[in-house]
Amino acid sequence: MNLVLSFKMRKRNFGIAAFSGFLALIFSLSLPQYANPVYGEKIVLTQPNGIEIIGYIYGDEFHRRVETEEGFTVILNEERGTIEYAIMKNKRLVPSGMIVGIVSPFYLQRIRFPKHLSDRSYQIAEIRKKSPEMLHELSSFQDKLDKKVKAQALTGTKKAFVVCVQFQAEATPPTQWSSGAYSPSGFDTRIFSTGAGNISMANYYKANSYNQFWPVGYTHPNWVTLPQTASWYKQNGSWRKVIEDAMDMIRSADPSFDFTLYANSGELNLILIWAGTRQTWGTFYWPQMSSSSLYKYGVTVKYYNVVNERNSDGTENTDISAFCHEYGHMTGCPDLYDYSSFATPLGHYCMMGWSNYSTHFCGYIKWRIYEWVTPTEITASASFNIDALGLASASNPRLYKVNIESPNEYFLLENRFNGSDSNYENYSYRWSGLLISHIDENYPPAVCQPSYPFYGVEAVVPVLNPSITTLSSYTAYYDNMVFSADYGYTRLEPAYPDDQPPGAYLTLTYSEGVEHVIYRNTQGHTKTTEIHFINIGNSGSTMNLSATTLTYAISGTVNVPSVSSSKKVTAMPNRVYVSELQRRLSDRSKKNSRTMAKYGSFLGKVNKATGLSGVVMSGLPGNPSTDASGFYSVIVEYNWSGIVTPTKQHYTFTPLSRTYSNLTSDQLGQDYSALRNIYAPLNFQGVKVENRSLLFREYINSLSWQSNPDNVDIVKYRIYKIEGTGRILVAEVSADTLNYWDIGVEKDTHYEYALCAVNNENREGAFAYLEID
Amino acid sequence: MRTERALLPISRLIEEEAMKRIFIFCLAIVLFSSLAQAKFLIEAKGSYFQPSDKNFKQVYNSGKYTEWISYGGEIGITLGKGVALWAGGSYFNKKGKLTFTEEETTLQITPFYGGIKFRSTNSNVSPYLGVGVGYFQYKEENRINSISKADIGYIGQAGLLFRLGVFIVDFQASYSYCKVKPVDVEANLGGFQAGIGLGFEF
Repeated sequence: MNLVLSFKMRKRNFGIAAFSGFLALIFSLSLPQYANPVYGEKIVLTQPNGIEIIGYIYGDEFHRRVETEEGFTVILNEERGTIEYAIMKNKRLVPSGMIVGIVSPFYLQRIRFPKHLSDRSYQIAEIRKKSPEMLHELSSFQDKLDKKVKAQALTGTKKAFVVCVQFQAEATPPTQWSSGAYSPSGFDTRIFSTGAGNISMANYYKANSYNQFWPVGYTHPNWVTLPQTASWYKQNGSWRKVIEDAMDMIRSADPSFDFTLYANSGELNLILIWAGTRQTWGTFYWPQMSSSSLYKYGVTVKYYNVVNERNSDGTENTDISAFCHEYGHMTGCPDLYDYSSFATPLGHYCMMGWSNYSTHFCGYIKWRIYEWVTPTEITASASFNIDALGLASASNPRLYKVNIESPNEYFLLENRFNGSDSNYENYSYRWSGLLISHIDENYPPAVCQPSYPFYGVEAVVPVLNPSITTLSSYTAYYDNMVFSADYGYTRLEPAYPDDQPPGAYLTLTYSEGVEHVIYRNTQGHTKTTEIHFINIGNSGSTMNLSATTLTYAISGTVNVPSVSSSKKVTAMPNRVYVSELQRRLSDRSKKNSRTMAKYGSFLGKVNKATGLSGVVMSGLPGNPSTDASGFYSVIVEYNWSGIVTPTKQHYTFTPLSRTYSNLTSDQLGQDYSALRNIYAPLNFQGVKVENRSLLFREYINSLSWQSNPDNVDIVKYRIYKIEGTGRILVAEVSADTLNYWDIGVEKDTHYEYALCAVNNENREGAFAYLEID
Repeated sequence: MRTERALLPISRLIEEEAMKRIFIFCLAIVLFSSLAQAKFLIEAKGSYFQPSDKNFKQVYNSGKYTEWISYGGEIGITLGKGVALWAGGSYFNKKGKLTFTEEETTLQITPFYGGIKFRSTNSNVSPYLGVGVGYFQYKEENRINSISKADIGYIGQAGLLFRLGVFIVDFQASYSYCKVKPVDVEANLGGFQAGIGLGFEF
């Protein structure tokens, strides 16, 4: 009873004391952190008059929002100490003056008071502005990933050191309690126990890694009393000071205590449990992971996790979720939720998107971060079986990969079946089925970039409809991000809805019909191929699906005229088979990276030696032009037909055009040979003249012409005499000679001539003709 | 290079016949003068040549006027009563250009004459008129062809002879005519000449 009274008093006091911390969203921490998100966790708040309020908290250490059961956002009125319904003012939440518990929610509903208000985006933006290093934003995640890929997989065991700390007593500690009440041994069990059936962080990692990895370590057996109060540390805003003091206290109690025994090559991975609860309104005492360069007693505290001892109601925090999530950061995982919008692109299908131990890591984390599973690449049309990602042992692949823009853009397919791991993959509120996630490693996993309003890791959500264009709509579908016949979602195909721009939509066929769904991830991609997944079966420990592989390979040759200065013969174009395109496509075809594409991509090269730029590929959608290297590419719709004709002034192409009919495959290497046109000389004319001395005479056909200004690299002209159907070379003259005398012709004979320019490749151009009587 | 080799035997016959006639004519003059104690005349002369063939002018119209001068000499014997027999020759050489291609062509004409003159002998100034037959040797060379041949022509003279003792100054104008067609082009090698001669009469 006393305990209960005490608890309530503490909560009342806490409600007032928390005023000072509510607006403290700007942190003094200097090192980047990884957050621990909660989504709608139930908490109890107390008004100054003792009225208890049930709230649901959303947020992490950066920002939190509390809603009532009805969805109205509430906020602490700093001046009055009351918890009030919130309104938005200047992008920020402010108290409305309507006190929760006094103003009826029915009244609010009647006046249509806004629900689910949040100023998270504004507050995060402020943090990003003032202390961007805190958010880390994963902007350098790709670098980390690259390093990770080069490093070894996370296997075996890794040491961690756990210490529980309590504070000096004070009247209203921000943690509600200053002293620890629950035995550190309990935390030790929940963190390190590998006993069969035990719910522990070690077993979570063991299950996720298929027995390849789990943390081991040591938990200090006693609560370590820090020299300062919880408020003092909060005011100083320094977890580093907490850690330093904790280590000092341990050493002062036992001077022989050797921290190096619990370090990994001198690096101490520290898990610190503080006495008391998280702060509801404040920001310091919230589970998080960060890094430091603290060197003390022979070890460097490389990473540290901090987690609360108690829940908001004072009970022991026995949930391992926060430990598992934060230890994920400690071992290299990014957050898979958006700090700004709080959106979770993978919904409830990954530990790093929401902190809940009943969910395995997603396939992306298991493969790219930890390398516990290697995806099987789909390279041909076929039916596939996929075992659940949570199964301890599997006879079929657990993860499939379908390349889009290899190597950085691809789809991952994973079977997320509730119960496949009874302890850690068994979130019953969630649909079971095939999770199809789109990965684009060119972008951070869960941070939208201004130029790319999608996430680097994002689920293709089957239930979206075309009217939904923002991720805020994802919230309702966090549990429904999988495909399965159980719910009628058996097919995922791309299409172009009539009323929407191309490239961003999929046709979704389900039990009630067909509709177009937004395929958010492909928006803005010019080279995205469309992917067909069909015959997606029922959920189960093994699922089946069919993938239609439509590789649109285009291959061809590049004709480059040969230039020979040593031989005065007519040179014919040599055939050259090497081009940049072919190299690109070779790589692509080797990896067989395109699968199930409904859109074909045209890839080719219009070459004149090293490639010709500015060639318009008439007939292709958008009439694309070749780039500086002569390369062109375009996406066309599945079953596309058309005639493509390369055009550029003064050039002739071989072939003149290509005809495509009902495309069902990529057309790689659709190359053309480009030859600079050599036009006929202008004003080719002639006359028969008498040439005589006193006693002799002869007749001459005097020919003349003008150079064609559209010609380049002309080195000479050739004059032919046409006799019958044949052509006899009469003469070659240099390019600066624009006339010729055919001497000794007969006076009364009809003559026909043909004249052409010859370029520096010894290639003849078009003929001009002339008749002389 | 084309030549008219096939015509050579005929031209040679004509040439030999003409030479034979001129030789007989000169011999007759000598014999006759010796019998009649006639006066002899010998002179060297230079004349401006103006061809009468328009093609001649067209092809060889270039160059200075001095290139149109032919050089020659003349001998004669006065038989009395103003009748004289005479013989002479000249040399004319000219470069020209083909009409279209303007390539170089050269022409050389060497005529030998013989005939009779009628002149006044009453004073130191003797006007005279003369006619004669000519043996025209010609040669033309150019890129089209080349030829060297001879043909018979005619000449008429008019002049004024000044005597200063044994010295004479002869102002002479003449017109010659020699139509030739060595291949397929017909041409007149003659024309008008006007010149001056210096010599002796004794």
